[in-house]
Amino acid sequence: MAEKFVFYSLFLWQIGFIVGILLKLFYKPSGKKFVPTAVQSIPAVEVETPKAKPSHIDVEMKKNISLQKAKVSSVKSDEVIKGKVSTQKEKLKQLRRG
Amino acid sequence: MAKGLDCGTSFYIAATEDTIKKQRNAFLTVDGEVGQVKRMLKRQGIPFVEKAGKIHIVGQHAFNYAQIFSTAELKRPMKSGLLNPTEKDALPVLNAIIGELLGDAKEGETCVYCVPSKPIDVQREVSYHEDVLRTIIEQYGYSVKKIEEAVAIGYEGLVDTQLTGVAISMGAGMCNIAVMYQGMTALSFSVSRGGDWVDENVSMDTGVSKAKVTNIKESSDTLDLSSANYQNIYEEDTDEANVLIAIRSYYGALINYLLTNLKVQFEGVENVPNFPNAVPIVIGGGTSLVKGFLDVFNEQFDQNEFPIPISEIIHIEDAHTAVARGCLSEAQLIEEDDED
Repeated sequence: MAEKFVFYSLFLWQIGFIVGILLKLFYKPSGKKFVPTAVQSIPAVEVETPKAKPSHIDVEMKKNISLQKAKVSSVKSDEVIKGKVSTQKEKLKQLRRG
Repeated sequence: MAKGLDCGTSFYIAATEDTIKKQRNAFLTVDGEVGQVKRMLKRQGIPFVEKAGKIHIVGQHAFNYAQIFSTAELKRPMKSGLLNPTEKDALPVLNAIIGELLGDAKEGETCVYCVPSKPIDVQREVSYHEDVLRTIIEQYGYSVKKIEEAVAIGYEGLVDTQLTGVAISMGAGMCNIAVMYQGMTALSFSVSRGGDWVDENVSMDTGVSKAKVTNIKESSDTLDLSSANYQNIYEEDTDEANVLIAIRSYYGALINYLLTNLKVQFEGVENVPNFPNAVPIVIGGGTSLVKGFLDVFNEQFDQNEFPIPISEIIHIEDAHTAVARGCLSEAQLIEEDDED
């Protein structure tokens, strides 16, 4: 009985010893850490983001002018002056051409 | 054939190389059964426009009716130099007037029309006015360009000084001013006072209707604002004498307002050129047609107060059509450039 006890005891010690050696040789720790799941959340803090102040931009107006034509028109000019109309066109042309 | 169009508050004037056409920019709505009114107007040879079941007499005839029937309300498509915001029937009337003055364009014809400079004494933008006129003129097939009204005066009156000087267009609805240097506009603006402002105030002060004041101003043989004649009028005690005295007074106030604002604008604007030599002031427009106008202008003008040295004050030849002729010159040069 005592012999059996010693035998099984040594056998278990040997297994334990071999497992210890094997673990030391082949086990590599993953680096994972266990953290508690109930983490206290930190409330967001409002920060003023730096904004560039936009300058005004001129946009062209979308023109949608509806023409209102008369149904009937018999308009005649109040005054018509026939004859060569004098202008300063030639002097203007010379000035522009330098 | 190039065309120039002066779009004035009181008159629309079109100029081509051989014709000038004028149309009074006013109308009067006639009450009554449409068919009957049309027949009557056709028999009389009176020009009219029909739109949305309403008949409008257009132009000088409308003006004449307003003189005779004091209850008849003369309507104006434009007010203070811009489209009249209170006049709902303005656009079809303007369309008909422009159509008659210009007619349909032949291929490649250019029309230059005038626009007011931005007014300094009322909160109005000029772009809508410009766009409406452009749209109407384009509809008749023209290649369209705009120039400022006072610049058009400069093109007629400042060519002998290399387009350097002060150009003033005195119209019914507003006065336009451009300070030009070597053809460039250094400063331009308008004030919303003109011949209509004179008429309204004279009417209020004398109890004579505005239409009659306008008529006296435009056609009276006795109206002469020069100081010599003014003294003679003063001796009389008639309704017309009262009107003439009031007209002279308000002309002085209008010119003073114009010159004071020109000085203030000139002093407030950066990059205004220095004028080493004295430059002329050239004046055109229908409101300057009254006899003795230059006398009143000279009375109000004070060189010591004025920001630039002035060589002379010139009343441009044929002042009523000067803007249209300035626009015509520009249109002709555009067409010549296109041909080159």
